Amino acid sequence: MDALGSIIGTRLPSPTNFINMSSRCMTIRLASQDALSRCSVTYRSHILAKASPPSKVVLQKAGSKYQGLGCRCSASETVSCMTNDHTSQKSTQRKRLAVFVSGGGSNFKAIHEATKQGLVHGDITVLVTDKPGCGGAEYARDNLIPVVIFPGSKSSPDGVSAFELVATLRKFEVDFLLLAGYLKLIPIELVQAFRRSILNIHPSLLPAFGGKGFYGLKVHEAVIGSGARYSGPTVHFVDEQYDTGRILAQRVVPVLTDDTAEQLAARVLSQEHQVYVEVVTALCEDRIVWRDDGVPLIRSRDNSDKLY
Amino acid sequence: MEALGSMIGTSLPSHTKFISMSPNCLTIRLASRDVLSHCKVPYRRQVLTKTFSGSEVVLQKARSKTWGFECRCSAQEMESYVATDNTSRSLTQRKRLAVFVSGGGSNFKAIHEAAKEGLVHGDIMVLVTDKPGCGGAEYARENQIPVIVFPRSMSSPDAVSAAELVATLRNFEVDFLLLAGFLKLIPIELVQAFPRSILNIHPSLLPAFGGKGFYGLKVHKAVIGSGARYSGPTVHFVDERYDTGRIVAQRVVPVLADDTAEQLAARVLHQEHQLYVEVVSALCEDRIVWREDGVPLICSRENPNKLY
Repeated sequence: MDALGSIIGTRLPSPTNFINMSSRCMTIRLASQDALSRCSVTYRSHILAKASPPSKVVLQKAGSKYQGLGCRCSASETVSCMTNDHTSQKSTQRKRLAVFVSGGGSNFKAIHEATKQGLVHGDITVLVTDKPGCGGAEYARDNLIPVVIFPGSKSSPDGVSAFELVATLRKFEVDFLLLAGYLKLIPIELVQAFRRSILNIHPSLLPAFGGKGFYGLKVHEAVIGSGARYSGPTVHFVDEQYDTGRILAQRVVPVLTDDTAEQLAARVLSQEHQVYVEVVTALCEDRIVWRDDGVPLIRSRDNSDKLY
Repeated sequence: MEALGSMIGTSLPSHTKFISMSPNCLTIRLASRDVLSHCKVPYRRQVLTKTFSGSEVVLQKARSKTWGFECRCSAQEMESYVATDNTSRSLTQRKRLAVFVSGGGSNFKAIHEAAKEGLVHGDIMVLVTDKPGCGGAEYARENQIPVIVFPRSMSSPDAVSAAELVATLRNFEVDFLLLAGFLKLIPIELVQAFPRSILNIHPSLLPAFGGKGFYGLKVHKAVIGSGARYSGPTVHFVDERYDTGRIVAQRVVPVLADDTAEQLAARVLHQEHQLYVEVVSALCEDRIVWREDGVPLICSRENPNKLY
């Protein structure tokens, strides 16, 4: 099956029985539906699987312009699912997400709930944390999401190395890494392995009040102390330094003259959840486009010409 | 008179005759009205004067919570002018302003026009520039505003020194310095001579895109290149470094996905004019208050309890 798998660019799980093959179409029988749903695909031509109750499924190369799949169920010869609109999402493969947290994980929970509700066309397949006892890790365990500890430390001797982390994320076939309150620096191996695939959210209007030492309430205290009248969350791609990658989305909230840091934090947090879910939604629907100068833009779902 | 002056926290000009004093009220006779209008006040307690055709004027400590002043004319014993509304401006002295420009001076013009129209209760007494041929300087000369060249350079060998500049501004009895596109660093002598009296406007949401090298179109190019989705002008008090004093006001404008630096600059400039006029208006009406942590706030004209 390996040879066949490489012909069509899909790793076929064992045990798979070969039935027949034509130049464009291959019929195989799978041991179970689950197995096929984990087929990973080559980039560019998506081969998406449709599993129907009979375990015979036909895999066909999708034309590269379509975002859906062409597939025929050999049992009913239906040529369906030639989806070039983005709304028939159940036929597009769900993205695989890894979330990194150090604390309570409220953004993680917001995204997780959005995936469950069908707002986000992806699944959180693994959680990475440096604090195995944190709220985010507990929530992950409650929801059967595997937890990986990184980096290791005296309090977390079971932590993996950077190299092991990359390997693990590759094994999980993770498409995107979402940092959501992760306080350790992302190692260069990870940034290089997942180019343009790592997002972070920061609770200020970057580049203001960003960089080393600016996290949690410290950010909001600094905003208030400067006299700034506006703040808000920023979602950005991650590069090798803190908080300096290209910005993908922001929201604005007012800073009131009698605000405490906690009040401002709460106002910003509410916008954080909204903007991160919106961005991850766009990410999982392949609606991120890159401008010539390297700035990432979001293509609107309703009107494909509108960029923001 | 000095002893009396220090008792009430006002420096009284010479040729003042003492008439009577009670714990809350001091009656004096002045040589001329003009002299009294230049009394300096300590920050916190504003002592405002009302001049009458009779040269006897009573100065009384205003309670720190009211926004007007209380005074009694000893001739008529009227207890008037407990001005908690700021509209009886004709009796309050107009502030004396100095504006610093290096270029076209569009903010300078906006403030000058507002002063002429009575929106700003102050007058621009002098223009300071490092470029005697610039648009701002031309406009000043056309409007009979004296022009001072500072600092010295190869192209301006006759410019004044920092010490001379301070002395000149003191001679003009300038209350506030408004920087409006002045590209030279304000010397420390000036900052020390005019504490909490120097304002600057910067075309980004400070502290983002501020500091050395960030001026003119360079600011807007940097904003666009970062991917920031919001920008806008900031008015702040000036300290010894570039763009780091406490912020007193900001406005937000969106950055669009297809913006050029010029388009963003125009959108921000429009807000700059509105914002600077509003702040200078408040400044001239003594509506700037200082929070305990040193952040300056603006008191609303309509509702003195509302701060923003």
